[in-house]
Amino acid sequence: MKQVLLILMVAFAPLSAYATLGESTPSIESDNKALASSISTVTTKMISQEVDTGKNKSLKYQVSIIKATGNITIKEYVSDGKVFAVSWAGMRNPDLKQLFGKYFPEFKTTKTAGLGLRNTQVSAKNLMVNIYGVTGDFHGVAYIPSLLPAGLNPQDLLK
Amino acid sequence: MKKLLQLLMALTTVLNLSSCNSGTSSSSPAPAPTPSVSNVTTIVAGSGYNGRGINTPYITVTVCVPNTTSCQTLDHILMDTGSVGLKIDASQMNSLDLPAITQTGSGLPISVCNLYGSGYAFATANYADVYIAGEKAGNIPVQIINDSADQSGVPASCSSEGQQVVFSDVGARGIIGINPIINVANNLNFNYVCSNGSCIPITEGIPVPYLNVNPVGYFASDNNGQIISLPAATANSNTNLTGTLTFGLNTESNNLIPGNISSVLGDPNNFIGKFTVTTEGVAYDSMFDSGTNHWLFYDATIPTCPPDNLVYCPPTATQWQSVASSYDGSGTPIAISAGILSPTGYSSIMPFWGIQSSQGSGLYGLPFYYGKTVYLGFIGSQTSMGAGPTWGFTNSN
Repeated sequence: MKQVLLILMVAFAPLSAYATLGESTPSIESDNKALASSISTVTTKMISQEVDTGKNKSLKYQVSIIKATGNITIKEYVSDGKVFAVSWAGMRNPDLKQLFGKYFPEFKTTKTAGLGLRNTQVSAKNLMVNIYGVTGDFHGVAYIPSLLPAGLNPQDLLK
Repeated sequence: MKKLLQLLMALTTVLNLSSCNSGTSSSSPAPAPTPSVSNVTTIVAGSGYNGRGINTPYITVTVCVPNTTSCQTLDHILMDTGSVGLKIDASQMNSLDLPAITQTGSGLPISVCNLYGSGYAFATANYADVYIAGEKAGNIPVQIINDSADQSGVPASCSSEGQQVVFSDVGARGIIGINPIINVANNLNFNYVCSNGSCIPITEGIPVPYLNVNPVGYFASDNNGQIISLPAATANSNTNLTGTLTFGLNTESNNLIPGNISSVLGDPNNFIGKFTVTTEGVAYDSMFDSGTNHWLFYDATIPTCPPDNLVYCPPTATQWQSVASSYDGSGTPIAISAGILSPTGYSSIMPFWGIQSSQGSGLYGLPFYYGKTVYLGFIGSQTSMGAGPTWGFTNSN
């Protein structure tokens, strides 16, 4: 699969929150207010990524990169105006209740199995999550399978 | 992070140790062990006290009220080289009343939100004498984890970071973090004082420099490092492995560093003293992590199993190749390869189990330790491996 990456800087503005899984992009604004008191000011870059799937279909989604308090870098993936995935890396995990929104209860109650002390894996109908890490270095990916743009391999979210 | 700490407040119930007597504990109060020269304790690796763990190492630890003979011995404490500090599930404690570490000024007991990859562990901070084999760490901070099913008393700022860590899910009654950095800055975790059902984040008034300490680094002797030795595993098995954890490096006749050791320097400024690993041209920080129960790496050329696409399942046995080197680029890099097989099911011991990480990260989990003797030099130590933290090994059997 040939991949063409087009990186366009659409916006470069101070922003102080996360978007929420499954919500529309304006959720960023409301989340700003909800989290402004607990998250220091961060900078968001809006990146448009175009992937040539090789079948005359190009795949477009946006990636916002947020530098949050605690050296946490959060990526939010937006397609058709909705946040279909989030990923992060940092000294701790971000506020997942805010980040996962309405999917948070399902995340909390879906038990992982077998992967031990270092991993949290949720494989549910509506939500896929993989978190792993050690002291001071945590990584996570979460996405909504039904909102995943056609042609996008979830593996690409690990890069 | 400090700002985050200052802001979040939630209702909670004060942890009450005396109410946590219902779980299984491995013994009743017992006399303190007689100090001896023994610096070796047994490691059991496998599935733990309830058979639910995989590739998980455990040791036995005794905690006592400081300077008394009121003690409890706990088997199946998860031996973790990737974290720092002894923490025990409250449900595993008998009536032992370890004194609380209290905030200077308010006098209120301090609680800590610890974070692992599998989630958060909310725990009270306490003082204890810690005995392992014949070694003693006197009056050090330990923690008692709120492992009740009802987590409503945990502050939202803690419980929003993930799922609750359930140590019984990995066959353990608690965890002992024996990382070479030997302590963790208090501001890496969220700390609280709790009273009358609510917890307030704190950054001031913590009376000890570290709420998380590696007990081995606080032993009276044999405190500059440790040696982990496990037998080889050549196939999946439901038979536990038995090995040894030996304290000290070059301090006794049984902990000498051999001349043929392969070793690298860890970064003394990293939280857990990581060294550098390069695979497929990508470099990242990593370590020999006994708390990871698999090989964790990113390799786009090895297929993963649907539907999660998390577990590697190559059609035939394959080798993952990597190179470990000192964090500062000094010394001789070490080639490390892992045999990866597609798992057909879960076993207590799974030497060829690989899990996909994000690109540019990964850990050498317990399967790395099989068939090796691993030498960990603590920060501040100076040995033939160099200045600690140091990570070395020989292929022992």
